[in-house]
Amino acid sequence: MADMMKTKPFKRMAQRVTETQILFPALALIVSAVLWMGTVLLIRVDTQATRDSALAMTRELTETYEAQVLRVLREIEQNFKIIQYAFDQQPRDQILAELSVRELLPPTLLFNIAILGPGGRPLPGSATLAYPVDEDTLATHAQSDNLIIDAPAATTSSSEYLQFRRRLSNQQGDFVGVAVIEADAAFFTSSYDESRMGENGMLALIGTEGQVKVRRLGQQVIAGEPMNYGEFMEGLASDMETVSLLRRSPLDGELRYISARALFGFPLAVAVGLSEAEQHAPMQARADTYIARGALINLLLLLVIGLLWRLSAQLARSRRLEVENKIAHAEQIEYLAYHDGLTGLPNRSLFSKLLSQNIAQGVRANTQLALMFLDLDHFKYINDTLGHDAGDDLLKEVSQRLRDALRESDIVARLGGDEFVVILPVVKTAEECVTVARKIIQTVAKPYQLAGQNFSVTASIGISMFPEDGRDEETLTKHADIAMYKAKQEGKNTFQLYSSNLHAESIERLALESNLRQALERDQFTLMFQVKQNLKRDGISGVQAVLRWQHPHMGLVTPSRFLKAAEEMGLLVPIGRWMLNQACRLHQQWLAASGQTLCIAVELWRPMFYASHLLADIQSALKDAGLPPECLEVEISESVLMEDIDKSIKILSNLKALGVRIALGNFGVGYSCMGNLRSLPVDVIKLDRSFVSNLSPDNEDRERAEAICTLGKSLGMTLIADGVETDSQMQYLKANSTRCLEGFYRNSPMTAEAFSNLIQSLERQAS
Amino acid sequence: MKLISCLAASVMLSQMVHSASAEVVVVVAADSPVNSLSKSHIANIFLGRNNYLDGRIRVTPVDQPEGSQARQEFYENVVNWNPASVKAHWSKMIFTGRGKPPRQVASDTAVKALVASSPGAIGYIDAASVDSSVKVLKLAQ
Repeated sequence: MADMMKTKPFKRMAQRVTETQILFPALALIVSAVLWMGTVLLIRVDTQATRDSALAMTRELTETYEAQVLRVLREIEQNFKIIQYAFDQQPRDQILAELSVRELLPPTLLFNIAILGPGGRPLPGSATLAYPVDEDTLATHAQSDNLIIDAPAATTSSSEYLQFRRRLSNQQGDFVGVAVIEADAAFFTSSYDESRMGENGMLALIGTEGQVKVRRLGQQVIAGEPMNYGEFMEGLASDMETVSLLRRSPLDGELRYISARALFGFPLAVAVGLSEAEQHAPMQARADTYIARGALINLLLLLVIGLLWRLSAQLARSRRLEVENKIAHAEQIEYLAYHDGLTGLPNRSLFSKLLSQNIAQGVRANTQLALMFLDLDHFKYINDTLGHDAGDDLLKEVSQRLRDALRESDIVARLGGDEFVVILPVVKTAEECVTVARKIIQTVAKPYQLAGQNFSVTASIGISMFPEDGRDEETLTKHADIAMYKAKQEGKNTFQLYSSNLHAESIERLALESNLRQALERDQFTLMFQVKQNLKRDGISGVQAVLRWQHPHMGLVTPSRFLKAAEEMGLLVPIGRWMLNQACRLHQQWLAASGQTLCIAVELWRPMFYASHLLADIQSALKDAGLPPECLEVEISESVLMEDIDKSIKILSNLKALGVRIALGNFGVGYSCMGNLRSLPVDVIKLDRSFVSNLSPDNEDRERAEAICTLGKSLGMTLIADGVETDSQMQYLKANSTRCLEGFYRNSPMTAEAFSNLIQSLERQAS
Repeated sequence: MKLISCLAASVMLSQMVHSASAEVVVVVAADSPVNSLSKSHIANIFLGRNNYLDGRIRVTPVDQPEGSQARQEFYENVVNWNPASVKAHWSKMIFTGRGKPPRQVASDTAVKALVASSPGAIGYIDAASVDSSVKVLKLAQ
């Protein structure tokens, strides 16, 4: 744990450092620092080297200068000795000439040589002296045997001389004169070497008594300046080794590398000085170069780093983007995988996940949950009528309404088509579910604006509850589905809670559906017949073929129980074809047997009606049976007709051209096409069965029926009522129906055999 | 008017000076193998930079006294150095122990005597003083 605590900040720091916005500036800073530290160090080293070499050179020059001055002084001493010797040997007037011839005297180009008598009179051959020797000086020499070196009082003329004097003695040691050698002062600084000492170097010959005999600063030679000798030599005077120092020169105030040596055996010292500024100038220039170069390199490095930084930032950005894109893509894919593209609701697989999660939660928390299956009624119709875009808009709107109607915690999903599902994760009672279901039904039922028109859509809801109606996903969904199916059967726009007897029904339905496919092949379908009775006069005015399924275990099954399944399985067209053929065949037989001219009505279901081969089917059915077309009446539901009124009119015209009669069924409810009635080539109008049960005198339906009847009559159509089930209903209809109503269908289908017998008995009655 | 007379006077004066300046010649011993030397070689000999007359013979340059006309003209025309520079040069040479200045004799005659008597000697004299004891060197450029 402690280790963890230790390593974490390190890791964090390492991560932080590798981030570009820290890494690169840090890198730039480090590189710059290293560069400048290097530059400073280089300059330092160079400065030190320059200083050391200047100090060493000063020492070396001093030692050389010392040697040179010493040699010259020794030569001058030697000259004095020669003069003394000659003085002892020669006649005095000849001395100088003789010495000159023998080249024992220094060159007259630079030296003035004179010999003075005790009174100061010069001997023949003596040069004219720059500084005449006075009596006091002579007196001094009479007293002392020392070599005297005199410099003039400070002047700067270029022809200054230093005067060397020595007493001359005879054999007895008496004072007999003074030998004088004057040397051009510049001579003592003529070893000045510009190539090594620059333009501002210093050479000096200093008297220990405090007079600068001669000194040269650059090109300027000065003789005879006063100077504090002790102060000047402080720290420099050493017999053993030459010392050099950097200090301000007392001669001109210049900062110099100075070195000096006291001369052995003479009251003199030599000093050499190099100007610090001058000695450092090349180094200074180099330092400037280093700095300039450093600055340039630094700038380039910074540019490169900046460029790298930018590139890396771009790279990082693009990487980040790539990662973000990948994530977004993955999220998108996940979203797409789990959501319905149209409505954005969870799809079947996510719903399945959510449901199992919620079931698990319910198991843990011991709570109930509710599952609702919701299916839109007549959605198909809207889709087909207004187009898929409108259908999509409707689905979106429904989704939105469902979301709005439910709580945040509730789940809405779309399973596809017009099937929605709702999970109420926690419910306490079934009443709660009922409340929610009612709310949903109300919400969905509000009118929609689609393609610029108002439409109403209703919903059927099936509800199953955990744990009561199932403890697992599969069971719950199955049961909710069963309940929904029941709600649809109950007349739609309603909800149904699951119960176990529904289950039995659904099992039966499933059994039916599974057998439905083989029903045609195994010839299990059969037709039954409803007679059309005349209201005006008792008697049969027609017959209608209705479909029944002779199920091996369940007996006769009415279409209401399998029609929807058959439609879903795409069996309506083949079954419809079979019906047409069968009806035509049987009817032809009866007609042939009885000589009657009854018309047989067969209902055309939606897929059959809109099928492209409808005419061909009818023609072949008539032809196969040998039935005249006027004996066939095809019946189409008003709602089917209304799905595509323009197309319907074309189809009806074609049917009319065939010569068959056309009946409009289930008329007067829902989607009334009374306005279109004029343009429809219809022979018969079948009023919906709901009219039969609502024929009381003061009733809206009745008025409506009256209106329809009047209109139909005026258009030359026959009006028939549908769905008379009992004798009392029949009596009532006879008594109360409108004048226009011509007849009705008895809702008591009979077998082909029974009907055949009925016809024959009628035949017998008639004959 | 005054200007013109001034000019005329100065022209005359300069001509006089010119005629007064005698020509200096460089001489060696009459039997010397050397016949001609370049001015720069002669200058180098008199400035102590070259110690040989030609490849083998050690040279002894001979100067005339300071201030003599011959010396002035020789240094002006042949060596091409002014007296101060010559002095400074020898100062340094002597002080640093690298040589000594040419031997100095009193006159053309002394120069001739010295030159005639030593094979490596070289000097300069007035052209008028030339005799058979010495050979006048041709001065190549």
